[in-house]
Amino acid sequence: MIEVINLNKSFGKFKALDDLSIHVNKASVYGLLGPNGAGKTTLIKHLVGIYKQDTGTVTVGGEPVYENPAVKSSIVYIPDDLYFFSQYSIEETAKFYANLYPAWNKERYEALKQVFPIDPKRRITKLSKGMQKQVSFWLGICLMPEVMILDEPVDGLDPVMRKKVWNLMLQDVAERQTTILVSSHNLRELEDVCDHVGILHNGKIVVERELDNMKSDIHKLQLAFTGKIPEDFLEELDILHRSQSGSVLLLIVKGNKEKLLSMLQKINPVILDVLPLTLEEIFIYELGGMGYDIQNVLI
Amino acid sequence: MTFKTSLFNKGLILSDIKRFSWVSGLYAGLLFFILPFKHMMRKNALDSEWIRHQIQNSLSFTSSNLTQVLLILVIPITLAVLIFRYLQKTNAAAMIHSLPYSRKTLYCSHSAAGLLLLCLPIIFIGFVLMILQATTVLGEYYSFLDILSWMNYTLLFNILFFSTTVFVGMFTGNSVAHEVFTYILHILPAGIYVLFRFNLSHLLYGYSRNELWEPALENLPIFRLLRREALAVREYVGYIAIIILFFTIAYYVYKIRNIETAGDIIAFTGVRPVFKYGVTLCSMLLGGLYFATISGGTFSIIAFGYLFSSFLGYWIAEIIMEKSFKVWTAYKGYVTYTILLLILLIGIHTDVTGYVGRIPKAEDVENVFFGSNIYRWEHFEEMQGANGPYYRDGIYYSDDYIFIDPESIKNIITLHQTLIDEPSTQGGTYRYIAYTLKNGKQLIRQYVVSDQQHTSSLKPIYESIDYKRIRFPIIEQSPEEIKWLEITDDRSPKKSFMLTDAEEIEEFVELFRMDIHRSTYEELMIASKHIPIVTIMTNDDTRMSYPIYKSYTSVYQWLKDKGIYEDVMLLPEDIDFVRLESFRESSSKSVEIRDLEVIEELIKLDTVMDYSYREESIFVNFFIKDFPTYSFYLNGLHQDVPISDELQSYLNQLKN
Repeated sequence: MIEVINLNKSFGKFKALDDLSIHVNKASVYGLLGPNGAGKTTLIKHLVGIYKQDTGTVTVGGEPVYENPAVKSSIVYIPDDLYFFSQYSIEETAKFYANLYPAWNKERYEALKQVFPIDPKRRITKLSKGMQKQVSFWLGICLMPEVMILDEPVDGLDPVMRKKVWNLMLQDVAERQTTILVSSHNLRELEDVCDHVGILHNGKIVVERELDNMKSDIHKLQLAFTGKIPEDFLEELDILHRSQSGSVLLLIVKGNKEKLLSMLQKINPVILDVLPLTLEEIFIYELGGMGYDIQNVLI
Repeated sequence: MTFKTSLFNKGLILSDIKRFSWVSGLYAGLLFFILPFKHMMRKNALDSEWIRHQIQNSLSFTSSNLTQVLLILVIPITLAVLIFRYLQKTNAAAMIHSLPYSRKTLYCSHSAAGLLLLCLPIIFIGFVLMILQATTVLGEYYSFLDILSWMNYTLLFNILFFSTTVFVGMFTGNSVAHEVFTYILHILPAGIYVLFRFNLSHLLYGYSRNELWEPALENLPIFRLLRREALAVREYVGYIAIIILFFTIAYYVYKIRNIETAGDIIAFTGVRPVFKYGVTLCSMLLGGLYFATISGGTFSIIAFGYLFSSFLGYWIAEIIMEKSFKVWTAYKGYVTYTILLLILLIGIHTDVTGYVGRIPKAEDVENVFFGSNIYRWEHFEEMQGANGPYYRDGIYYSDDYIFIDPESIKNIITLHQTLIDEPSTQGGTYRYIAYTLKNGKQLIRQYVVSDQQHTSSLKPIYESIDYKRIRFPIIEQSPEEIKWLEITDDRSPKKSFMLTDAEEIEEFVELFRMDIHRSTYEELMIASKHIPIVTIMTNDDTRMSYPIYKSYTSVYQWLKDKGIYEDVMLLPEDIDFVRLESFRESSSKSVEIRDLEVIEELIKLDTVMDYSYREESIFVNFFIKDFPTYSFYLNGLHQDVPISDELQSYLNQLKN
């Protein structure tokens, strides 16, 4: 759905995006990760047609985005730094968007009043930052987008609201095949919702992965043996990390979970536990060998 | 997926109108109180000529009140800055440009909304005025046509300023800069021109400094508006073309503008040097001018002023653009600038082009203007020539003349050479020498001419027949053309004397001409305030007055012979007493003189009064016998005037 190929962008002498390519499938949730200043917002502003690339192509649904109203009308962009007209109430803003976006869904707007408990007659700029964020989700969802681009979306939302909002959006992903690209500097935030993750560092995509594969592919095992730990079985495993404390062996292993378990059970460990891996740990172990100090990248 | 692209989007226009209608409302409100409301309030006082006049004038561009002009200078610019603020604020720029509209639609819609907001108040007020015109007594004081013309020029200038503001906005990413740059753009051409010429006048000896204005600059909208002269159709068309041009360029600039420049002072890299060196140049000229003024034109101080102020300007521009004080890496540009500046200054100082010493050859000169008011020379045609009747007054002499006689041209060239060789060290007055050459070119110079220091060069010019013929047309007039002559002495309450007899007129004129031919430069340069005058009325009813200088002995003798003198002129016997007064700070002293001889001396003295200011000057007040209310003053009697011992003793009394 979203295809960026060899995108380059410089601000004066500063190279913000360096030959960057990403690919986002339809109906997927793509997490764009990276520390502050990595170029996330710059990339996003290209995806919604605000910035013009120096070189490279940016397409959504096969069409270039820049100066393309047809494509842009199917994209909803919720920026980090929100902007609303200062005198406008929620209702007036809704009317404004209804005028501008052909796909505006009034029923949905009315229905969502239940989810967002804010008086629609209130002026948006008088609301708190979190409430403004809610309003932008509320209105954004009503634009029936095919693509949602969210820049640091959950900043300022309380956990309950965060869950509600994600539920709404993921529902759209499932029912309407909406594609979502969401940026964050915090991996844990995206863990539960993303199916793909791209890590951006210094204007480059360092890694792009499908999370489900990764999760089912990497495992954290805790083993304990009576007596000496047998060494020979280790050679058969694809070990990313190994640590030992006393008779307890901790392994990060690549491979099919069932296969691993059946194999390990053969050597009769006293304890055999498969521990949950956080996304962060996956990246750290996965990328550990790539020469990036990934902990610094992900924070 | 289809999506119609159009120039205008209703939603965008409506939102602009909704957000900025307060500007429109404010404008309409203010106009309402300035025009219809004020008219209604004044309606009852229409019997006053002045108020009627005011009402009529309020709709005319040539005399509309300054408040309306001020609004035109503020409202459209503010409105355009507000509407296009979405380009200057980072988050607004992101929001608006993520909307599903092309820049063409955004630009056209926002511009259209702005124009609507600008025009509606004017149209509304025009409508109200029309209703008042049709229904009330006000209809007698202005017509529908007046209202339409008011709407016409108000709309024109509003849109003109709006379009320039939109244009400027595309080049900057900061709303404050947007507003400031717009005003700067409007006065910049004139400002640079004036500064440039002012600076040259300090650097180049002889460069005419007062001629600082270029008439073409008068057409800059802001000056045109302030000048408030009726607009010609040609001007209308010109300004409309400018409006279209600005809107069009703004559109194409917007198309290539990067949205990330929101917040930057200059939105295009290519414009940054223009801004930087523009600021450097302007501050250099301004600073240079300051240093030139305080130093009285010393070259080394001016050069220092240029270096110092261009340095300041360069770094300030750099700091503004980079929004940082750490801009020292940009030193290369300044070094280059300084080198070029030094080359230019040295070039000017050594007079590489030969400007300072350039004097045309006498045979190449068609005519030459010598005088202190270049305006008269420039508007020679409209004024029927500087020598035309408009300025022909032999009494309050104007020193602006165009000399055609080869002898006079030679004299002026000699003076010109003297001025170059020996610039005035004693001060004096600024005079122009403007040659019109036979090849059609002109050469204009301005110098300080000192009456004392340059007397020897000035004397032949002013004593020439060429000059006298222009100043005193009587020299060439035939006595038959003269209807009558009137001889007046306004120092005295005596009646003037009319000369109507043709024979007597002829006699008088002949003697008068003779005296004029003999008159000297020194006498001709005296502003003749208290001198008997002769007024000559010709058959075609043009009237001209001439002074009868003290040296015109043959005329005076003739008057005495005819017995006219005693009947017209002030005689010492007519004076009751003379009071001398001296004013020093707060105290004043006075002394009365009744000594006939001293009075006679004082009467004669009056014609050689020097008007230059002296602290010790004494006022001489003549009181006429039998006319207690009639007296006249002479000011400026001072110690330089040679006087008799008797008079001196009176003056001494004033000192203690």
